[in-house]
Amino acid sequence: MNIWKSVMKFIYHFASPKHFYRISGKLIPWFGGLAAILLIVGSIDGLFFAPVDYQQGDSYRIIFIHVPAAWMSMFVYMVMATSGAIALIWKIKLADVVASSSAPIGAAFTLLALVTGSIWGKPMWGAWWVWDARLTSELILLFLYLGFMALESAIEDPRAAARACAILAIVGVINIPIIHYSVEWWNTLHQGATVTKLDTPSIHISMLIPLLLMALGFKLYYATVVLMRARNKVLYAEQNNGWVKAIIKAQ
Amino acid sequence: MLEMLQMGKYGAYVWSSYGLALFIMGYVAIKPIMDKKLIVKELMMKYRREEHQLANKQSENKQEQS
Amino acid sequence: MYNAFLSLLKRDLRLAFRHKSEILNPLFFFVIVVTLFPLGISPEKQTLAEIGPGIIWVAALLASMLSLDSLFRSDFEDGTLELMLLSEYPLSVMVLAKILVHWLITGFPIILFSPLLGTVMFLSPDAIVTLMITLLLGTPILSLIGAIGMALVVALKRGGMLLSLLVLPLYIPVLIFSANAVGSSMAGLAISGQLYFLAAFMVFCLTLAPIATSAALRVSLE
Repeated sequence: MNIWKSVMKFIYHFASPKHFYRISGKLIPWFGGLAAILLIVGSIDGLFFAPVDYQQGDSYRIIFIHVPAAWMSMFVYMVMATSGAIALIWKIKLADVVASSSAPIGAAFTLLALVTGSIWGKPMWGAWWVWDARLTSELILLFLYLGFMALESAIEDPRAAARACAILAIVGVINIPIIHYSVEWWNTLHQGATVTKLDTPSIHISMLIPLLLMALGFKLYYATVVLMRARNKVLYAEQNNGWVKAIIKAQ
Repeated sequence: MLEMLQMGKYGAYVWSSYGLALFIMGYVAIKPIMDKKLIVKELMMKYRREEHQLANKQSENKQEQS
Repeated sequence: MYNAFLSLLKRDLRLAFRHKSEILNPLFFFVIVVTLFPLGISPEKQTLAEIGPGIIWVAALLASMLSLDSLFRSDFEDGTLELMLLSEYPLSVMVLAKILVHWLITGFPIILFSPLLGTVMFLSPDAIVTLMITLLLGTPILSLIGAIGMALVVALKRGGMLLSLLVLPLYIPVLIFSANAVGSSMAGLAISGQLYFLAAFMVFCLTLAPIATSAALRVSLE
């Protein structure tokens, strides 16, 4: 029990706005720099050095944007639900801040995955939109993000908004697998003939490396941006505290 | 080199995807930097106003006393 | 606890029967929406039979969602909800009673009326039976999930549009499996898989939705 207590003490300590602001300020340049390097190297590798796909030609190179964005769109929603649950259970304010800072970033990833999927679909399917299982799930996920953001902006009291959004995110995250499964089932029934060309069952190592670089780059990019957004929110929320005054006056 | 940029016949699709990614992710990354500048500006004005009010009040108090 | 559940159930039902429009309006809405489609698309038998299951289900979905306001709104405005929060009985049980009432006054009439609409849309007798079964399994899910959304927006002045944004994406699995079951039984295919899914989903929502709803109500009433 003692260990648990000291762990919680440490978490509360780190989660105090002042310490979060200081530590995140140190982390952001590292995360951001690393993300930039990974994204640039991954893009160049994916665009110019990865071999041409024998079926799809060069159009498959969209995968290096589309798939990491789709992964992140799911991951960010999970982060929102987890931090929402942490905020509800342990009353850690910082977790609320992380959840609400994540929502627009997750929505941006979802939008990116949707549009790149549609651009990729045009040469592959001959149409800008096909009711493919992955695209449809991604569209529904976008609706979930928009609902979250709409609820947040509709409730005036920020504390109440954060708690309501936390409940919504948890309900959403429980439903996502069910929605995903049902969309997939619906898709196989209605379009059994068309093979989902966005699937890459076996991928060559020279294509896998840029994909993994990009995926890691996306993750670090998210970490950087979410910390920046959270810092802004903390700064604004704590504006009447001495440490914020000291920081602002120092500039 | 030019051939490489054309990506077979898929150049427009590939480049528009990467361009869009650059645009969206760039905007999402730059937005908080701009926001921070605005917040710092707003808070600085606020603190200055508070200090002025405090100073005015103190001088008024002194005048009343004398 | 059981007594509290029953007395709340009776009180809400009595209130609902006093305002008959609360029962009749969703039903009228359901019928009118379904009627619009033959007028908008075509009265041809084959077309209607193909799109019928989906249309009837979408209409049921919307009717159930638009009537969610009656679930907590009046109790929120006159303070009854706050009393429920303070009472010695668990809030989730009271919430379950209110959800049951909502289903009885909106979902149940829809089930009773569905054979009529199924006939109008040229569904086969088998498909009409399936339609009734899917409505029986599916409309409680709509009330249960809708209650969570309604509890989140009950304190807001204009929550109607927001409610649909929150709730409709969560309704999608019900729509997919129900409409598909009706369509499959038109084609003479097996439908047990879809019905099992709906039943499982209903039990799942029945256990978790009241808890989520009461948590959301606590936030809204703070």
